[in-house]
Amino acid sequence: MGESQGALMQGTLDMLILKTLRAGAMHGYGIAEAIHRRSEDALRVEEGALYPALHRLQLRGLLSAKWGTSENNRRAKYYSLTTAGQRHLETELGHWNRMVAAIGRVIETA
Amino acid sequence: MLREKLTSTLLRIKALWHRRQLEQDLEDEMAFHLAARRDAAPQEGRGVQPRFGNATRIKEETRDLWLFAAWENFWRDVRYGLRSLRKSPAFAITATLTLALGIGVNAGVFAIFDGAVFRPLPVNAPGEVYQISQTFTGKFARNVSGEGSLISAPEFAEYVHENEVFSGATAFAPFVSATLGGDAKRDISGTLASCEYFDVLRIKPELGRTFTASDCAAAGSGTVVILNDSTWRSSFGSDPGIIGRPIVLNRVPSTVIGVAPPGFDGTEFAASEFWAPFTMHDTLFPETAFFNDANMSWLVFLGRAKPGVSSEAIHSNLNVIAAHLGARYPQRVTHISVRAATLFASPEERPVALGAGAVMMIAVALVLAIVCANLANLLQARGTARSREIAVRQALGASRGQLVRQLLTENLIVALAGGAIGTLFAVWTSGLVVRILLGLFQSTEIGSLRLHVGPDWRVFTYCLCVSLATGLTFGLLPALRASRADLDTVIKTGASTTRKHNFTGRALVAVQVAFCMVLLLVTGLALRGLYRAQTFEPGFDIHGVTAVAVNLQRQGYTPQRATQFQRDLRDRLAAMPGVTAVAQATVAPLSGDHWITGMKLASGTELGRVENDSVTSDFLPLMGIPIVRGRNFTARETETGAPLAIVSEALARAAWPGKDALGETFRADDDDSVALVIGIAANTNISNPANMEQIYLYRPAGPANQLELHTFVRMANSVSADAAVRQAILASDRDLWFEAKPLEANLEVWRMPARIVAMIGAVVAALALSIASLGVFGMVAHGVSRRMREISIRMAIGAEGRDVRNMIVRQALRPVVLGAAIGLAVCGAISGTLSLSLFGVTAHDPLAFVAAPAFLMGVALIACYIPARRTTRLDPMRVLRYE
Repeated sequence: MGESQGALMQGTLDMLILKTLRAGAMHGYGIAEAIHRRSEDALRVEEGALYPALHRLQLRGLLSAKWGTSENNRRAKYYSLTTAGQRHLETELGHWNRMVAAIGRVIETA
Repeated sequence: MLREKLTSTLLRIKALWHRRQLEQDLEDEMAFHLAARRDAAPQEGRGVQPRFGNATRIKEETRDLWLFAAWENFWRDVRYGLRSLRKSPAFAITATLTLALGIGVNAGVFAIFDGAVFRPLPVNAPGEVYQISQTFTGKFARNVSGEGSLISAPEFAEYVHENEVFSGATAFAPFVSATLGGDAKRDISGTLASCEYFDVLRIKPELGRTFTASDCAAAGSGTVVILNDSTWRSSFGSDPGIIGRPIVLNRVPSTVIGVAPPGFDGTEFAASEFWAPFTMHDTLFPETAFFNDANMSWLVFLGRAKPGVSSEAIHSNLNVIAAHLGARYPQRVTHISVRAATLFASPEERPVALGAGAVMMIAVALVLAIVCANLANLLQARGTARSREIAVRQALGASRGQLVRQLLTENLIVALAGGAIGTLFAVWTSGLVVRILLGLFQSTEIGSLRLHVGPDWRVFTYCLCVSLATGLTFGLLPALRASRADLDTVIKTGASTTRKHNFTGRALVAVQVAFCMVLLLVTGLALRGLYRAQTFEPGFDIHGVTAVAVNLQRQGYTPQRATQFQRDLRDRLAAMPGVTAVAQATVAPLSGDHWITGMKLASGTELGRVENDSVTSDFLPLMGIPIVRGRNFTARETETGAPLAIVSEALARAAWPGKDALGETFRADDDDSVALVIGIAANTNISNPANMEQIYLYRPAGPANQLELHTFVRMANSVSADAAVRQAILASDRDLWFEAKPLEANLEVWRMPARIVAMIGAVVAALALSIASLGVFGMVAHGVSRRMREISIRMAIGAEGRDVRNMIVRQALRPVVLGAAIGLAVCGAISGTLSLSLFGVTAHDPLAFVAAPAFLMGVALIACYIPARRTTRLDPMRVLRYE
């Protein structure tokens, strides 16, 4: 269960990051905080998982990155969705919803 | 998926350019996150600290995503390897130099091999030029001047007219010997070519013009000639006025119309001194006028393919034409071969060239194998010395794979460095070596030999592959070995497993010695063969005879005039004081000329390929060949060319076994006459020194042979023979060109291959021996240092230094003896093949088989003895205390 859970988590994390960035460009810390907030403190993304995921997504061309200045005048790297990223997000959301529905149906039936 | 992979690779390549920026960015990104966290929860204070360790790891993990892991690892291994080599310079230098030697020799031989066999011809856009050959099977008869795969002029015309694949084609006869008239008479070797020759090869003349279609308009037309640049310089004084002036070839004045550009010597192995239209053949050689003979093989056929046409297309197109040409010979099948135009491209020459090359490559590969074994041993020793370092690295977390990769990289660096040095040196000197070797082959029959050897992508690719393969061969096993160090034992005691190392070391020495033995023995056999060739005495009387070669056909003589000339020459020479015998024949003994005919016997059997000579009546007595039964020809019979014959004993036995050959008749294929056997001559090796039982036929030199007779003069004093001959010849014709030399000089040609092989073999064997003995030396020296402790203990408890030394030498000699035995066995097996190809070598020459091993063992003994001597001067107490 542990390994497959990790793999599931990886794909899911990617989806969460992409979804969060649909709202607009954000830096790594901002993304982690957004996920933490939206999930109502249920999901806490470790930096050790977040940054590799962000960089992998960037390498795959699903995110693009730009350096800018943050609110408190620090140098920060802002990520945003690319068109390919948007398309990928749509696909992943579709998969996710279908899977949730399917699992739901199995659980519902006694 | 694929698109993402592409994007990722492209982004990563971009990141390579901005390496430092990447590091800074990652640093900043982490720093920002940390600062943001701290800002958001300032009260956590000390709790934030643990994150620091994590930040480094996250940074590393992220950075690895951006880099090409394999590439990074590789460079790290290389840097580490270089550092490690710098720390042991003695090893690095020894290994590199040894490798340079081994690989360099291979590179040199390959460069020569490549130049002879694979390199395209020195013409413009050589990739498009192909050589076309015809081979026949089935029942057929073919006239041949040169090789059977050459074509005839009418066939060439047909191919040119009917083909759809060539933008241009040319046919030419190389190695055409003519006699240059004028003030500096000499033999000259050139090419008779079709008039498109220079156009197809795209060679522009330095002076004047090249052939035009009118020069080849009809058979016999075009008495023009183009000179080679070096011939123009050496024989005609670089005179630009030579254009338009005639030179005399075979007594035919030919106008010089151009000079070829410097460096162009034709497309063959020997330089062509002139080019003349091939239609001039019958004019230059009226007695062998075969220009219009469609069934005569004498022309090399080269074609330049149209753009985009493949060799398969050429093959199928020409096959159609060949079938059409062959319609007249229904039982003959013609096979077309299309080969990229290089030297030795014809079906007859290529296998020989490839075979000779392969043998040379194997010899030097053996040397390289010895080098590898040597280095493997060296690395073995180094591995045990570094076992501590390796163990520490393993303790720090290096995996076995990483260690092996790094050690292997280190070895490959040495291999590539050695290979680079060796290759450069070889390429630089190969030109010189080739010139020296070719200089040994000089002969007046063909022009000076030329081989273009130089840097070429094939040579460099080969050297790279050889270097890598060498590095893997000697480097892999030691790398695997070294990384297997047992952590605990090594770090604690500093010792390492020795038993397995011992065995490998000894096995490697045995292998080296075996290879060395093979090379030494082959050289020994070749040297013995050379010795025998030098002291060889043929079965007939070859000494004290001057042989005169004068080619009357090339100098404009008719058969009638020639008959008169020969008779006058004989009479004049016979009348001179000191001359004991004069004779003439169409073939000079041991000259390498072979006149062949077939014999059809009365019984119906046919004997093919019978060597024969047409002689005057004094020939057999002059050569000291006795007539065993029957009688010799009379002078009258040889003058009229009577249909008689004298056969050698071997021929008599072969043609009429059990019967008396005297009185038998046969029909000869070459002149279609019936001859009567009147005598049987003793067997002798008149044509091939290795064959005492020659099947040979002697016939009278009649009117048909007068143009081509060699004259033999036996004089008491051979020095004055030259003067006598000159006087006699010039008395008949002041303008005649002839060559006189001692008949024994013909033996030289037979000695040549043995000499070459012996020389090359000696160099290669010496190389192998020095490397192998260094290997043995190293092994023993290393063994002694390693076993210092054991030796000192032995001596402390009473053994004499001498006894210990002897023990060490005895132990060291065991693998040597084993290797020598293996080498002897291998050589015994292959020496049979060797004796067939080299004159003078017998398969199991006892002297060679005894001397070579003895020599090797002697050297090995010295190599073992010297380092072992250390033990006699040892103070055991000091050693033990130090340990």
